[in-house]
Amino acid sequence: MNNNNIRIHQFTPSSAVGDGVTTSLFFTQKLLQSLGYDSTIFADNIPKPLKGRIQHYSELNQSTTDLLLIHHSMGHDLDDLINKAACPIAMIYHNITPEHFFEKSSAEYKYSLKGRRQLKQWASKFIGAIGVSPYNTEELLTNGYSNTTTLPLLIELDKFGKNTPEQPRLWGLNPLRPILLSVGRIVENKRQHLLIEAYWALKQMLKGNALPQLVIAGGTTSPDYEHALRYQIQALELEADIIMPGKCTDQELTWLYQHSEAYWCSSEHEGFCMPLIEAGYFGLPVIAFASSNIPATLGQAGLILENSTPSLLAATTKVLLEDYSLQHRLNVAGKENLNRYKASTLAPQLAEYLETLLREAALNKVAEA
Amino acid sequence: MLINNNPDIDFESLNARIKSQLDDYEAAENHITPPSFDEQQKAEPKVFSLEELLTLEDEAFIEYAYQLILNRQADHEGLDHYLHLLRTGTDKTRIIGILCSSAEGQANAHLFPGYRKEVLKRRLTKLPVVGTLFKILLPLLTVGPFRQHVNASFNHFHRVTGAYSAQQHENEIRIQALIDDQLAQRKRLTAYQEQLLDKIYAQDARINAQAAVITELEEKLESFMKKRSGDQGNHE
Repeated sequence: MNNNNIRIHQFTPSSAVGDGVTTSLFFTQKLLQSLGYDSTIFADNIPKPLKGRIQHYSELNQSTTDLLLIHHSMGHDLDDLINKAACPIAMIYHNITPEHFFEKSSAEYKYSLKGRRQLKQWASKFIGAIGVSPYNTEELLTNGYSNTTTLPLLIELDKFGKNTPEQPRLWGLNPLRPILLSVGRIVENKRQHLLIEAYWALKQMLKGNALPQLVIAGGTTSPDYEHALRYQIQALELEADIIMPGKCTDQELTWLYQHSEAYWCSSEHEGFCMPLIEAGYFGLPVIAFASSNIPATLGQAGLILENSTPSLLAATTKVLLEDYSLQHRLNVAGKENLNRYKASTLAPQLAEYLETLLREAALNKVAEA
Repeated sequence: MLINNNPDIDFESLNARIKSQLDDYEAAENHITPPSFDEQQKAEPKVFSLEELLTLEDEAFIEYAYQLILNRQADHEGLDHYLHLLRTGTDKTRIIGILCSSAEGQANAHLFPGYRKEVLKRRLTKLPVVGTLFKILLPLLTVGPFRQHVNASFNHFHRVTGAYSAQQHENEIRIQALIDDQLAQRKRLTAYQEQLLDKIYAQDARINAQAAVITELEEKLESFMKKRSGDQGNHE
């Protein structure tokens, strides 16, 4: 494919090391370059370690850009870039955490509201839009976007296997007990309190037989919520059973994924939910409550509970832990699910979609002329 | 129950097994529903920042420092040790530094917003030469806030003492009122007791009088009966 003279660049207001949107930017750039397009990433906020890979948006030359892919995951103040765009623009929508999950006085609350307002206002400005999940595409359609498609341009699968596992120390992990794992920021919409309640029920059901330890790994977005969770753990006397180590290193996470028996997800809102894919990569069976995009992310992988009932999560876990054949089938399904996110699967789909957009951009140009 | 998302899994049988497990759990004699997660738990009085922690004194300071930095209650040994340090003049920030630098403090660092600053300060003071200089400079740099803290402490002490005196005076008045009330009640009780005794004595007297009348009547009856039986013998 000869796309050498075509420039398809990407823009995000803010980038961060290891952040989901930033990972998506690099993955999409890799796909675009593999398709022969000239592709650069532009952003406003660029952390030092990424300065060599991302350029400031002031260096973007729109007159020589054939298509600009704009990643949208939160509101921002660079409205003019979209409103006065001098080149064709298409959106890559990652979803916005709803404002009610944030404190009213916080910046996140303000920008969550603004992000959804912008999403609605900008529909006519974009010649197309990619939802990174069916859930996101549905929201794009509701807001009046045309030429939409779903492409999970999110995951660098190769990265998962690159980290050397490192056993965590000083956490109080008992090597004789199996591990249940949950990874994610400690924040109200992840509903980790349901995991504590489910663990309490599981403890009653297992009556001490091979009782696992639950590791709830992740940095804190809401210190109040984390304090309340720790209070609940103490109140239920589960200090030796539930471990909350905070933000883990990639090496520690790799060790956890490799050494756990099952992955628990209680989240109420997920635009995608990357840990579900990581669990699949490491052959870890997932049990999750059906909410937002979780069923779509899992596809045929994992056990998805219709109701967010902690005792149901506990009962399902007990059945799973005792059924090796079910564990094996979920392991296989988790790995097969990864195929949907591979570069080799996505590249032809992206190529086909971009061709339609570029054709439309060319027609618009002719019409304007 | 479970969403049927995979044709390779027999969800009918799986759901039945999960349901049976759930039924057993809910029907178990020793089934206890855990106290549900409550937003009110957030309202627990807690210290969330270094600034708040530094306003506390003595035992409260140590207890909340443990809670904030180590995320647990202070054990007896730790409490005694740090209380001794505090009561013999060790600076509160030094105790915070020691707790932050411990392995446990490092493991909980993400919960404590001022952690990095405190550890950095402690490390700087341990450096050769620079550390000594830093130890001299640090009090100079913090002399303003320290003076403010001392002034606030004096004011707080004065306010607390004033409030304490007022409270004590109020308590004395309240106790005196209670004593007066008790004395009055005691007087009332004594009077009532006397009245009751009078009534008992009067009752006794009445009973004695009645008993005397009964004895007299019995004697009369006896003599009457004797007389009557004598008359009947004479007739025969």
